[in-house]
Amino acid sequence: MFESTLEIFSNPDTYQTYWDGTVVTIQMVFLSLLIGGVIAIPLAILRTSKNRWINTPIWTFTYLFRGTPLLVQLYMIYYGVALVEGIQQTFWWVILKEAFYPCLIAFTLNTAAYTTEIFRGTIETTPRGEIEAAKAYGMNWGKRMQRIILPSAFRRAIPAYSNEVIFMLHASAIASTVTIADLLNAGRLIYARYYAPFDGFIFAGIIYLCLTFGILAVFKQLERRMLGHLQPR
Amino acid sequence: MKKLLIMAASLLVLANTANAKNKDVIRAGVDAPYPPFEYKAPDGSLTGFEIELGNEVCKEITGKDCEWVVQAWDGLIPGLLARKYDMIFSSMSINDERKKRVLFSNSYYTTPSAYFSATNFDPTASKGKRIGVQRATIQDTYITEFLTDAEVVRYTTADDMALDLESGRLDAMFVDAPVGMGIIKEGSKIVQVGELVKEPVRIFGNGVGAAFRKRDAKLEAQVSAALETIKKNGKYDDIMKRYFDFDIKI
Repeated sequence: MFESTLEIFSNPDTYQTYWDGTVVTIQMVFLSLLIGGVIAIPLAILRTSKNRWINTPIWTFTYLFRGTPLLVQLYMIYYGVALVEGIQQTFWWVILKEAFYPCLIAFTLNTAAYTTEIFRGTIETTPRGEIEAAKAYGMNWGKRMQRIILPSAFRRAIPAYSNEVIFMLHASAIASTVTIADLLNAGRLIYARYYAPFDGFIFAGIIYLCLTFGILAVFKQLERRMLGHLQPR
Repeated sequence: MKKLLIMAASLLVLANTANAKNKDVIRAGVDAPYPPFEYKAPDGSLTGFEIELGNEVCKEITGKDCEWVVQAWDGLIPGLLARKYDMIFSSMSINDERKKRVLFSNSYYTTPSAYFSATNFDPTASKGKRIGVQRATIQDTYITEFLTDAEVVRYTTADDMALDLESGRLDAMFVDAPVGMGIIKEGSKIVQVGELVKEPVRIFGNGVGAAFRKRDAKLEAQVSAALETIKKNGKYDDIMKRYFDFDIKI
């Protein structure tokens, strides 16, 4: 058993495989979180609206994407779209042909749904007193959002959002099911090349673990600097 | 006590004679269904390429059909070693790992790999083309090594790959020929293109052989000889033509 482990990890190709996979995973997760986060901000604000015509469609979106497995969403977007008659002739196909974009779309919509609900929660729980004070100063809705509600809501969203980031990293492993050469794919390649499931997947697992610790460290710093006033003394 | 001993002894003798009676029939272990190599006919009997070929081999040696024992794949070698049957005749590829446990006959078939495409893909002009393979199969090894200018797209299952070939995400897929033929649906644009690939042996292996317990070298020699006879006298080709429209003889 140890001989095969030695054989696997003395081959520089192994590290190249894992490195390539790690880069793809980080790319996927970072891009989808970035775009998803940008989409989520206006959606969260609209979601707090009391107007049912604005509120309900966004609720439906978040409900659908939080209520179904990400794998199902990915399959729908990757395989489902390809079965639409004539899609190959439209310009959409240029984007959807590669596995990368369907996967990015699925991940982005999924994280946008979760992030919307996280932001909505913190926006709605802004202390009444702060809003009343802002009103007393004569700020209109836009000014209140910009100066009081959003800055405070984003800060209070940090702990919940760090969970979402870590979940997204872990969920990104399913990208390998649609031919994307991510970190889990690297693990599978090593597994199949050497018939070594433990070595292949444990090493991939260790890299995921390191990435998770990295994300945690960043958010810990953020919490200390931006949420210091809420921390227990 | 004495009576008991006598009874036990006579039972043993009886059991032995029962065994001896079956000695002239070769018991063969097979993992069914695995069409078209072995599967159940509508009347419940076993049939398929390997069943027919195996029966010919047994007839050559004993004058009778084999006695088939159905056994799931992962239990095939343990079942052989536990004497549930005397040989495995079940699409078992000859490799070094298995050679440590069992004795192989000469190989009796090998499946070639083939390109399938909807766009008349040409394997000799593969530059920049997207070719699908199943991850870490021999086909993956071959494409990675020989078609270096193509883009290799690796799939977990052959079905997913077929879907992407159908939708136009792939220019071609490279799979086991029988598997590919099985995937193509009626009225599909996908056809087999280019030459069938069997070489090099280093990648594609030595084909499929019957497996025996290590001490049964005599039976192994008989079966190998019978296979050679059948390959030469045309019976092999008769059976093959009924199941395949390409050559799997080795």
